Amino acid sequence: MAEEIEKLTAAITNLGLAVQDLTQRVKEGQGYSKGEVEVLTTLARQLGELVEKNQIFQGTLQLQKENEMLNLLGQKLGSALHLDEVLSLIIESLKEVVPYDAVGIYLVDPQGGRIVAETLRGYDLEMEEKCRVKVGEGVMGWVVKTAQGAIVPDVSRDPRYVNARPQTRSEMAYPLKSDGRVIGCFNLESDRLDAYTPEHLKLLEVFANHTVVAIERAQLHQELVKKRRLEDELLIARRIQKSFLPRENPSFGSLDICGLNIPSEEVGGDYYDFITLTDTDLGVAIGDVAGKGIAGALIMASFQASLRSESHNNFAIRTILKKVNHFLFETTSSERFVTAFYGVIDCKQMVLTYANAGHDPPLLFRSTGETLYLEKGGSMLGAFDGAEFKEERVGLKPGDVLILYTDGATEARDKKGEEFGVRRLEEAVREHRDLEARKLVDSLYRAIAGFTDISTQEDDITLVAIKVAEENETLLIESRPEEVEKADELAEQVARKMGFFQDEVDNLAIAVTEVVNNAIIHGNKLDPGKHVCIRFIHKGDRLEVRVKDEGEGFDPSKLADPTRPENLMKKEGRGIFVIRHLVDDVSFKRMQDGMEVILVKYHRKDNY
Amino acid sequence: MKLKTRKEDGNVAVLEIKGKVMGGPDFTLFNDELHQLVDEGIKKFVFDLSGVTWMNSSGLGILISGLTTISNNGGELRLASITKKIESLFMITKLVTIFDTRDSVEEAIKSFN
Repeated sequence: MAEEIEKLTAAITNLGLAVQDLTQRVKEGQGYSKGEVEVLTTLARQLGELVEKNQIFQGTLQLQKENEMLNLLGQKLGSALHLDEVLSLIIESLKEVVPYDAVGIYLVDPQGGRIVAETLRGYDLEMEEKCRVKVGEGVMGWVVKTAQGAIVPDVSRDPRYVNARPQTRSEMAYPLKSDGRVIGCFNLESDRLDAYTPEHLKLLEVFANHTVVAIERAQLHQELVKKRRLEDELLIARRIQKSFLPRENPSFGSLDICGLNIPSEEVGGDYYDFITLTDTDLGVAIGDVAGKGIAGALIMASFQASLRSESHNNFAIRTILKKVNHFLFETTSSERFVTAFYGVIDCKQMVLTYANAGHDPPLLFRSTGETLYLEKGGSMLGAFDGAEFKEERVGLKPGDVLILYTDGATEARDKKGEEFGVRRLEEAVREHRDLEARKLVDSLYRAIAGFTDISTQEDDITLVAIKVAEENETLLIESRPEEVEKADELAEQVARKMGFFQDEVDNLAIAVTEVVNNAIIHGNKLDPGKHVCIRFIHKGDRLEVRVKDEGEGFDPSKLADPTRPENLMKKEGRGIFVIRHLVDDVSFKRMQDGMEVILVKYHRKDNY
Repeated sequence: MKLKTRKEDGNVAVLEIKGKVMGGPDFTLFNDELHQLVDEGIKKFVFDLSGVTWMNSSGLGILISGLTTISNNGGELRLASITKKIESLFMITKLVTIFDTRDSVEEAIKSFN
């Protein structure tokens, strides 16, 4: 393009020189011949054409500059996200190609049909406020209504004009269009009369299109921010939920207990809880709130607070649920309710007393193979005032497995939309019931996850397993050295019955005799009036042996290291040290009336 | 625990220990027997452990106490045919460093000459 212009300029110069030369010669010759006039006329016409052509080229150059500017603007807009920033950028860039003294970008308020300024320059803001127009009013109103651009060369002569700025003489406006719909207006005002040409209007159209893109982008960004805020809320909901779920599984009598909650993306408001009421009474609760996110989590939190305080103040479960129901009815709207199960396990009598408030019935798998559905109770909590509840007592027997769950477990669907269902849950429990509670719950969850085979989990999944130790042998011996043989016999008998391999049986027997020896000699100090109690608790492949004496106890951290040279020739002091090599876990519990040592040994499944 | 004593080469006492060595009455039984032999003037002792099913720390205490008694009277002790189980117990407790162990009773007796 520049090359063309250079050529043109050279041609014009040459032509100009020729004209000059001819004119000179004509002057010298004192007059024009007819031929000379013709030549001169032709040259003048050619010169005129060339000059015109040059102007067009210059115009093209200007256009090129505009294009470059628009490209640059596009790039800048691409990196800016805040609407104000973007609109300022547009307005400033516009000034380089289209003159104005005041400018405004307006959006149509979809509700009231008013045209509201998004950004303004060069106006007295107070005055502008007074001159707000609606669709159909004023020049902008006309532009919005007709979806056409408008040039007003002299505002004083246009009846549409609404005066928001006394200095204004001419005006130009173009609609902001998105998918054929007018969403606003781009308006320019000038202090000069007739400041705007159709070319200006075309440029304004390009800027208006950029503006629409910028506004839409900004709106999208706002939606994104909103979505992120929602995600933050879910994070909070998850945190609330996590804060009221038990941090650890309780160790309670001969029960093996484990709870698991896998929250869904939206946090479904599942809840489970273990409440220690006395040394031998354990409260067990599971619940599901109607409502997700923070709202659901908060209702769950108040349900927990209410249940916990009522359970400590009342002994009858029907009374507890009645009070919790009243509290929830008072404090939440009626469409918010909680389905829940609450029961108390009396470990002395081995009895479960429970009431079910509209929750999926927990399953009690008897060691005999029978399955009970714990459904006695009443309606869900928080929905009806004055609801009454019935409670039921169920005896627990060695080997029983109690499974509590929420509908997220049974209503999990596979690809075809089929639910996992209670039957599959029951089958999975039967298959894995011999595992300890933690592994059982794990296997159940894996069965559900494997069935659904989808990445998105629709609802919270909560599972609680409570296993009554399969068998529970207890031995009470007197504090005489020869009594240790009885403990050895029973230890070997129990371990063999559980299928332990010979080396495991031996190691367990050694460990048990170590502890019993210590209890007799060091704990009870061979006092014939004192006893040692040895309990064997089976939980699947786990054997726990609790040895309790009636002595003053000792501090296991203060035991001397028997492998130090000065201790090597000592007859005693190796017991605890040896035990640690023979069993999987050793722990000590100092009690009011003695010391208890707890040994745990797992049965190795594979022989080697 | 079962204990059987015999004399080899006239002046070596071989104490054959069998079953589980777990302390309690085992200690008294073993201690009485050992003291009687020491009183008879025997200086060379072999504890045959091949028949020991298992042993706990009290059992280890019995062996240590035996070693102390014998050395206090100027005697010598060899342990013979210890099972893998007891060997690992000796390793854990580092008692392997204080006992002289031999693979068989014959080797133990031979080692006194």
